[in-house]
Parts: sequence; structure tokens; C-alpha cells
Amino acid sequence: MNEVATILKGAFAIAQKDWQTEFRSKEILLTMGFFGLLIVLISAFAFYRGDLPAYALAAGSLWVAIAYSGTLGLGRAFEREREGDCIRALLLSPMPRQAIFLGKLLGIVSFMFVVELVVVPAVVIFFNQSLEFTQLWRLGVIMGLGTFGYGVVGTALAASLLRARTRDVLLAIVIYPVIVPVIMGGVKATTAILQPEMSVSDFELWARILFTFDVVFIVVSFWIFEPLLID
Amino acid sequence: MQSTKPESRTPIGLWLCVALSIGMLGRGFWMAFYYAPTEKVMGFVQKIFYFHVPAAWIMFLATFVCAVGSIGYLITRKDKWDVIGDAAVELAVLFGAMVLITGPLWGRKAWGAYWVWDVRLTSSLVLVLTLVACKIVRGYAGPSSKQIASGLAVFAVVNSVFVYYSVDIWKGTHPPKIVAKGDLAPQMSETLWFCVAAFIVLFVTLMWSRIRLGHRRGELDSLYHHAAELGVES
Repeated sequence: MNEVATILKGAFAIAQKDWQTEFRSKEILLTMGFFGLLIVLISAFAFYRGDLPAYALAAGSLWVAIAYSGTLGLGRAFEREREGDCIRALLLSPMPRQAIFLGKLLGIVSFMFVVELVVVPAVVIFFNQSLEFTQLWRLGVIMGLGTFGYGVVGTALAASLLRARTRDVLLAIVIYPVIVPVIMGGVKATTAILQPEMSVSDFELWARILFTFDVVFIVVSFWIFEPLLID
Repeated sequence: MQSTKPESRTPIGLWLCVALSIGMLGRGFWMAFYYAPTEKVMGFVQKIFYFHVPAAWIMFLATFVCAVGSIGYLITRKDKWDVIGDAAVELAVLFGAMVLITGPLWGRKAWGAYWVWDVRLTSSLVLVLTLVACKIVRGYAGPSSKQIASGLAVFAVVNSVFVYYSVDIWKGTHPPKIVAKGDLAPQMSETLWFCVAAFIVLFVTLMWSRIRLGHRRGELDSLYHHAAELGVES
């Protein structure tokens, strides 16, 4: 119990550092948010026609925007740790490694949630959707589960690429194949929510799958984080 | 000039594996095209099944071996584990490519389209793409490429578990797992299991060769480093 408390305390301290840095600079939030908005806009221009079922396009556009803007945010969040060799300082500290992982995860997931507050309304407006309360809270659940799964995988892989060459290009190459189940589940569940007759059974099925993915990959990432980071 | 050191010569066991692979694959082809009866619904194209299914199983086996090698390297940081992981990921990509080529060829006749975004096929594609990403990382990530590729391989093998259970969970259009339930005709079953055995022998042969190549590359790298330390120009 003591160890868990130490990890949580350390994680919160790291997340607080990221939040404070971001509050002062707003660099990641602005770039991620604006990029996400642009992806939604381009998707609307590329795919939206009046005669096509817009809810399916809206779901796909939403998760593409989350995936791309998330990669941008991950790259920048860890670039901050590389600058000035902050990551070495973190590793030399007595903090458990899992606390570093959890702290960075909390940071990136919270940034993505803030960006989704911009991207979701953009999708609803540009794709001419309407959201009732029963749809909205379910969408919130799916966004939460999907964003968390994305963050778990992204944090572990982005940390592993800290000292790699061509890390900007490699980040996208290594993340996207692994998070395809998250994107698949997110799009299917969002489509089930947005369609004219909302399918609660489909939503529940995909929510369970996303939850399973999150649980499995957080366990794997907790174990693999330290070997990936240490030479 | 070939080295005369005993450990540099190709072992007799490897030559036997090569001969056995060629023999068993040859017999497997014969059994598939001449011994096994033609399936009455899908006709001749069903015979792809005798290569598609074993290739898929060997792809998963190679992924598992890759995970073992990767976990071994992440824990011990010994190069012998990394060599196993690297060899297995290449073979997993090779057999995965076989699956993704034979599957759509079969699907074109069975389902009327090369690619129907069935979840099992899609998840197999995702697995192969993740393993290709492992190889790209090894080539371009620089000094820490071994541990990054090993970590990514662990993620890939966890993903492969989702692949195996996807038919039951997501109810795709992939053919039901008739092999596990024993619904095949006896000659078809015999042909399939023989092809599986042939593919296993082929996998062992290729792994053995590839591991030897990996060790030789490691030795060559050591020699280059040693030469560089002595100031010898390459």
C-alpha cells in the first residue's frame, strides 16, 4: 500500500509539472487543438456530401483527428523531457519508474481531453449532428476509454524513442499499428451512438472491448516502461 | 575463402532440416493438389486452405518466439536473445505476408471480394504491420533500436491474442474454426496436418539459418569495432 501511495504521489508530482509548464506556455494545447480542428475541417471537405450518412463520417473524422493530434502532443511532451536532459534527472531521482510513466500518462491524457473539448463540437457542427444527453454521456465514456488506451500505448512507445534517431517519424510508425484496435473500437462505438437509432448493445460491446484493451495494455506498459527507458 | 573453423561450417543437422523441409513441402503440395478431395462448394480454390492455415499458425508461432526473445533481451540485455527476436520477427513478417496474399485470393472466390474488412483478417494485417514497424525501428532508430524493437514486439504479441479470439468476440465473416472442431473430411484433415508439420520444419530451418546469420553479423560488428580501436582503416 505504501508503494502504491509513493507511485501515485510521484505520478501526481510529474503530472503537476507538466500541467504547470503547459499552463504557462500553452504550446501543446494550442498546437494539438488547432491541428485537430484542421483535420476535422479537411475531413469535412474531403468526405462530406449531403447524400451520405454523415454520422459514420463524423465518427471516423473524430478519431482520425484524435489519433493525429495525439501523436503531435506525445512527441512534444517527450521532447520537453529530452531538452536539458530532464529525463535523466527523473531517472536519477528515487522516484519509482512506474510513477514517471503514470505521471506522463496523466499529463498527455489530460491534454487530449482538453483538445477533445474543441474537436467534438467541431465534428458535431461540421457534420451536422445532434447530440442528446443519452448520446453525450455515452460518447464521453467512449472518448475516455479510447483516449486512455491511446495514452497508455503512446506514453510507453514515445518514452522508448527518447534517444532514438528519426524519432519524429518513428513515433507515428510504431504507435499507429498498435492503437488500431482503439481506433476501430472508438469509431464503431461512436457510430453506434451517433446513428439515428442509437444501438446500445453495440456501444456496450465496444466499450467492453476498449476497457479490456486499456487494462491489458496498462499492465504491459507498467512492466515494460523501465526496460525501455534504461540502457 | 570459407573459414575452416568447425563452428563456421554449416551443421549437418541444418542440412538435414533443409532436405526435410524440401521433401515435406513437396509431399504437402502433392497431397493438397492430388490426394485431398476437392471441396464441393468452393471447388479447386479451397486448396489454398492447406497453405493459408499453416502459414497463419506459423505466423503466430513466430510472433510468440519473437516475444520470448524480446522479453529475454529486455530482462537480460544479452545479444543472443535479441538475435532470436530479430530472426523470429522476420519470419513472422514472411509467413504473415503469405497469409495476407493467400487469404484475399481465397476470399475473392468465397466472399466475392479480395478484402471485406473482416476483423480477423484486419487484425492479422495490423499484427504484420506492427512487426514491420519493429524491423523499421531496428534499421533506423540508432543505438537503442534493439530495446525499442523488443518492446514493440511485446506489444505486437499481446495484440496477436486479440487476433486469435476475434472471431468469437467480433463475429466476423471469416470461416468458422472448423479445424478445431474436427469437421474436415479425413483426407483433408490428414493433408492439413501434414502441411502444418511441413511448415513447422520449414520454420525451424529458417530460424536456425537466420540465428546463425545473426551471430555471424554480431561477430563481424565486434571485429569492425576491434579494428577501429586498433586504428585499422576499413
